[in-house]
Amino acid sequence: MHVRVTFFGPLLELAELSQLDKIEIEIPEGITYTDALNLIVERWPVLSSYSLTLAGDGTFLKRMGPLPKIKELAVFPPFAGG
Amino acid sequence: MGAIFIPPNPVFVHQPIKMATIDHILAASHVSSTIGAMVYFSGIVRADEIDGRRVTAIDFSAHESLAEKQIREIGVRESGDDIQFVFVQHRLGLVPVGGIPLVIVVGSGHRPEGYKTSRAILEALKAEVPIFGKEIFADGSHSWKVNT
Repeated sequence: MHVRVTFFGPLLELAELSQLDKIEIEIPEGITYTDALNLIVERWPVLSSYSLTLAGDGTFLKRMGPLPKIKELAVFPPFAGG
Repeated sequence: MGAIFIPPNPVFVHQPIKMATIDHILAASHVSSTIGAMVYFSGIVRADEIDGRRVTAIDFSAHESLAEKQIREIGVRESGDDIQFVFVQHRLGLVPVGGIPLVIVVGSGHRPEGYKTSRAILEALKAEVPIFGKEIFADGSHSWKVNT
């Protein structure tokens, strides 16, 4: 599936991308959460130093089972609110 | 689970959190005969020194729709029978030293439940909500906030 990727927090500058960059990747159907993470890190190795969390179409993705069909993938570093 | 009332205010604001909103929330005790305690928490940006550089502000950003949904879920999840309402507001954008990025108000029947729930919501917000903070230093450089 063709997915638009959005990076948050420090990830954008680490990956040397701008918010204006349209980032799209191809993710195999039925891929697992871990495999999706590995795809991201293979494409942007600099992100491997972070513990990443994934969300798809505005919902946190479950770490078990295959990923659902999504159009947008959000990639988060550790959270830092408050 | 008690009667949870999260006022229909936006969870995220891009300007200073309005004290008029907080006053309005705190005034809920005047119209409720079941609220025995109200716990107010606000975070404040400190002028921390990190590696010899002084923080002057934190620039907060978030995945707003997911973060708002997550905060509302946390408010409901962490509220037991004694909790009458939960109010959470987080500021995004540049918050200077001394500014308030976060307010949590919990109205409860009794103080132990109010304190406990306020703390639980705060810790869950820090751990589970996609909000990020860029610490801006006096020399113009920055680093990314890490919650401890």
